[in-house]
Amino acid sequence: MSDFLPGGRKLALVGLLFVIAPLPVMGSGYFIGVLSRTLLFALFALALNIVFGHNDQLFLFMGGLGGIGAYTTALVADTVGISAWLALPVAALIAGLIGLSVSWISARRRFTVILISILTLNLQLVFSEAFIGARSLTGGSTGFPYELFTLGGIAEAVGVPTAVVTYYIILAFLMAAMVLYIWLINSKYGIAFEAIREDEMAAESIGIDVVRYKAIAGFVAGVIIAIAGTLLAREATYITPSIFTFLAVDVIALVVLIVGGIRQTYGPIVGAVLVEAIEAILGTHAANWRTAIFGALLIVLFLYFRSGVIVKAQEFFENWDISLGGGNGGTAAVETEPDG
Amino acid sequence: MLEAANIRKKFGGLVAVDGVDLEIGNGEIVGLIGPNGAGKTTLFNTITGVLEPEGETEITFNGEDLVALGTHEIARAGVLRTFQIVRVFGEMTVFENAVAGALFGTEESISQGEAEERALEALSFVGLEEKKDMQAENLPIAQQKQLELARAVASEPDLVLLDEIASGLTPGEIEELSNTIRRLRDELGISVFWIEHIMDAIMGTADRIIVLKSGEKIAEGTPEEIRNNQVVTEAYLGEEDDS
Repeated sequence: MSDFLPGGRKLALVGLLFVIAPLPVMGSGYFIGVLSRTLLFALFALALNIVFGHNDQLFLFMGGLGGIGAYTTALVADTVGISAWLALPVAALIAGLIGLSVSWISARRRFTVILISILTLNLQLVFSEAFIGARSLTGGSTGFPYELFTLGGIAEAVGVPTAVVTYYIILAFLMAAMVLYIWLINSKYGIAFEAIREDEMAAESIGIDVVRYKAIAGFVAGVIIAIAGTLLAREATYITPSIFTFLAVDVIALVVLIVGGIRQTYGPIVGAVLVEAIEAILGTHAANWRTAIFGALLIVLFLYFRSGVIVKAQEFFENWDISLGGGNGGTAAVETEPDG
Repeated sequence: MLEAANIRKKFGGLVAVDGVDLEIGNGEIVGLIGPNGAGKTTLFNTITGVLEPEGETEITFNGEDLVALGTHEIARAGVLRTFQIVRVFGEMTVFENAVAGALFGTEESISQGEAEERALEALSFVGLEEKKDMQAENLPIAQQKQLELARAVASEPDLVLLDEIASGLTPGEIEELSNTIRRLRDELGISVFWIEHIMDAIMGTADRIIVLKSGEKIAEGTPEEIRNNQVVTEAYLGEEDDS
């Protein structure tokens, strides 16, 4: 397993932790919801890590792509009369092709990260308007109930609430995405991504097809974002344009990734746990001041943890080890490469 | 191997390379010299597809039309290069840099294991095998230049274009580099097209020298012929004052 998936044992351990995480709070819909949102934003941030962290393509239309995934799954399942499980790959493919097109055009036209972010932010606004405007398809701003994937039967058979089944399905997708991510980053693709991120001209000069690799990253990110968006609607059990706005998805995913650590294998998961925990604690104990305190905490995190909590923790433990005489006496190098 | 006719490149109204013809044969080391602003790096950038040449330009490599290809396709066709301002992948290790060169700089698809073998051979060729686990940006500039060369060599090219690879090196390092360039040809059969300002290095290593001035080729010949060429002397020093 380690040849195919470096750090596979660590991933299995993380997966196990998330498998047992809901057990103490099985009866609380609120806590299951918090845990599910944690996994979902880890999934969004993981997609952003691929396309932005490793490729310098700042996708600011994750809400839009997530919405494309969710609406398309529902509409294809309803119109064609097939299971949502069959409609989801179609939706993911469509979102993937949108991501691929944006990356391909941006790479061909040599857009900088700023230009890509402006382009995708504009697309986000277009998608948000479309979700509201296409009333006959989307139900407009009031949306429609989203109870696809018929999980009630499974929940009944196992004897747990439907929200718990949804949680484990999200977990399964997150773990699958983590396997894909670790494989990708440790393969030829990862080397190409790193070379392109560091120096596009040098990368091209050694034979790397920059346009192709950026388009691949855009496609993979689009697919993952569409799946995350569909699961986000399923978790909410209702689909409205408001759950796919820039503020509701993109801002949170970006914060999660930066707090956890860009290009860190477990950055999206650690970031999501921290951000959702802070949100949950503030929601419970300081509901009226929640947004203000959350904003202040983010400022602190960005000031002192800009390289990500994982990198800061590694630095802390390495320095601690040296001060206790366990180090080699030199300045410890900090692992900034994916630790998978 | 490389045959080019009428290479032209303009930037607005400025003609940076003006109708240059050149030919580089198998196993040749060809030097490219000229005063600052002569168009040497622009010529390299045009050959390697970084810059799009003017319509009348013809460049072929082993019979393949390079004008129609992108930079990465030209690299895969067997034309690799180094840069005037060194461009290693600084956050990667020395070994990873060389592996990247081996993996992508060839039209054949090779496995990761094979790429790693080629990378080690290339690092050993330039004498960097003991630094393979170092982060590339922590190498001194002279060794970063060797690494750029190793990254190119790892893809087993037919021709490498070296852009002022000796600048900033000590006399001892230049001597070592000149030996490495000769070994590129003698041991690996790689042809070399080399821009250089350090005359001792290029005159002592190249088989043939091309001289550019203001985008035009003003002379071509053996190092001895170039050294004694009045037009070249004037290009560098200005016309002699008879008075």
